[in-house]
Amino acid sequence: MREDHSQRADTELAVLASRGEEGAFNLLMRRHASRVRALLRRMGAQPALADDLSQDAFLAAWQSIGTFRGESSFGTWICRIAARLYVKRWRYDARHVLMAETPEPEGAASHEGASNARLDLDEAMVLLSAAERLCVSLCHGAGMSHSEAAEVLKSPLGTVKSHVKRGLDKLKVHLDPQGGRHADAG
Amino acid sequence: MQTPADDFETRLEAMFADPPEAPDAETFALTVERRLASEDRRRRMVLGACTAAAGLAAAGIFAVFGAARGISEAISASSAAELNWIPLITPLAAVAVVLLVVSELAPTVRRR
Repeated sequence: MREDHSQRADTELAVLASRGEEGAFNLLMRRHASRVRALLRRMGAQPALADDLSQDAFLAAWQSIGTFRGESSFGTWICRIAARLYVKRWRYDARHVLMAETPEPEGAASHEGASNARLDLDEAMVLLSAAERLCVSLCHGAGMSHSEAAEVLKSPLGTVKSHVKRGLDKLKVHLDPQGGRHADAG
Repeated sequence: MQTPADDFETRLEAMFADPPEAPDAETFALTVERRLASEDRRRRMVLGACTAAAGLAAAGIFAVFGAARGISEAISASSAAELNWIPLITPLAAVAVVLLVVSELAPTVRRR
């Protein structure tokens, strides 16, 4: 008979999964799948690619679940795995280089007037440049430090910091118009 | 003390951590579960094949060395009564087992 793990915390499930209990890992996967898929889409992946990479991330996590020490939450851990896979793919596909200065995305200016309306995160992320999206997602979606993000992106720390800063400023304007204005005023 | 900027970043992280449930969440989960199960089967098969290969190699080495020893003892024995049959028969039995296992495994591997 299958044991019911639904009441267990993520860390307990991870321990069970590391002992080979596939059911425990499946439950973890079900709990965090939406977060991982959404993260990859917000980073800029097309839905099909986001799903493929999410699956790969869960497979990689299953194979290395024994290395999960619980220093961060399982959600953060799996998001980091998925984010690294996406960055690797992104770099490989287009030989992208994170530039220190990127042109303003066309959509950003046209949405300035709409900043009164509270947009949801998915819509707001689209307004960021690719580099800003990546940096903000890595640091605030996958829980990486600026240094870790710089390492993953193979970019200078200062470049990553400035992309995060600009990305956050734009998000603040769109997601939190009141707070964004206060920040601008201050 | 938390500044408004910290507060926004905390809220942003919460938004990242708590996305709306995708309508195809169940389909996605089933796909991953299937991939995990098939990956597990593949891993077990590879592990089994490696173990079998190691066993076969060990049995082969045992057979070769055992047969050599048995033959040299048979040559040096002055009469059939003095001959110790165990070192002769054991490696032959080991070779027979190896051949049996290989003949059983080979069709399975070819089918896959």
